[in-house]
Amino acid sequence: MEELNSVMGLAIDEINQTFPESMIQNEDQFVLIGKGSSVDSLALVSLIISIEGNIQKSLGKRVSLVNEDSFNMTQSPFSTVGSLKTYIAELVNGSK
Amino acid sequence: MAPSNGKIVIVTGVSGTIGNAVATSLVNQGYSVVGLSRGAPTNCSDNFIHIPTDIRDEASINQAIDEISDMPDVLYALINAAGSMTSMAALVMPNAAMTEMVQTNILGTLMISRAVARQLIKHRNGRIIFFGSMASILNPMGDATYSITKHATVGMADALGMELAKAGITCNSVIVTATKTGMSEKVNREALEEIIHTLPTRSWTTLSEITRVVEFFLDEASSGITCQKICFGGLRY
Repeated sequence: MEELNSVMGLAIDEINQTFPESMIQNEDQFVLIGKGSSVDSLALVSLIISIEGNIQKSLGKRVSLVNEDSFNMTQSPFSTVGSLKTYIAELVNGSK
Repeated sequence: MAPSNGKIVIVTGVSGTIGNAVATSLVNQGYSVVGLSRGAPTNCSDNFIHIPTDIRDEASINQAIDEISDMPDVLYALINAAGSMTSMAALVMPNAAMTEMVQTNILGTLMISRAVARQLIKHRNGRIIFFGSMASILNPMGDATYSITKHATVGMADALGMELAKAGITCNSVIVTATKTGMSEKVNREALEEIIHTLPTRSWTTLSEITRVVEFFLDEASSGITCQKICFGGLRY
C-alpha cells in the first residue's frame, strides 16, 4: 500500500506541475469527478496515464485503469482520490 | 545535415516510399527519427533508428513506446505513414484484404496515435500527422474499402485534434493524390492516369511536396494549426 501511495503521490505532483489550475490534493476526500471538482477532463486523463506509467515503473506491472470493470462499477472509481486509490490497490493486487 | 534539435519524430510505415522520404527529410533537418515498420527500411543514417513494430498489435506498439521513452531526446511527433491498399471491385474483394486495410489504416493508426499522444500529453506539446488520399474525396471504382479507411483516417485526425487541442497537440492531414510508390504500382496504371487526368492540376503528388507539408505542420510555429487538411492536386476536402 505504501508503494501505491507513493505512485499516486508522484502522479499527483506531476499533474499539478503540468496543470496548476487543477491543484489536485493527495487527500482521500478530494473530488476528481462531479460536483465540486476543479479537475478538468484533460488533467484527469493525464493523471490516469501518469498513474499507469508509475505503476509500470515502480511495480513492473502494466495495468489499464480504464476498462470494462471501471465502466460497470456503480460508483465510478475515479470519483475521489480515495476511491481511485482503493480501485488501484484492487487492480494491482489482482482482485479486479 | 542540420545539428540535432533534441526532438524525436516517429514515422510509421518507414519501409514504404513515403515513410522513407519523410524520415530522410526529417533526419536532414535535425530530428531524431524513429522508424516503425514490420519490414526493414532502407534509411540507416546516424539520427535514424528502426524498431520493428506491427502497429496492428498493441503489445508491439507498447514495446516500441517503452524503448523510445528511454531515449535521451524528447518525443515530439508522430507521422502516420503506414498504410495498406488493395484495389479491387468491392463485391469480389477477399475478406483478408479488407481486414488488412481496416486493421492497418484505421485500427493500427488509431492505436499508435493514442499511444504516442499519451506520451506527448506529458509535455503539452506535440504533432500528429495523418495521411489521407484522393480516394476518400473521389471514391473511385475499385477502392471502396480503401476509400472508407481513408475517410476514417481524416475523421480520426479531426476528432483527435479536437480532443488534444487543449494539450497543445495538433493533428493534421496531408491528402495526397497518387504518388509513385510501391502502393501505386499495385493499381492499374491506366485507371490511375485516368483519375489523375480529372484533377485540376492533373498531377501526381511528389515526395518533395509531401515532405514540405509535413515540415510545415511539424514546425513549432504551427502550434495553432490543428484539424486542418492540405490537399494536393487542386482537390478540396
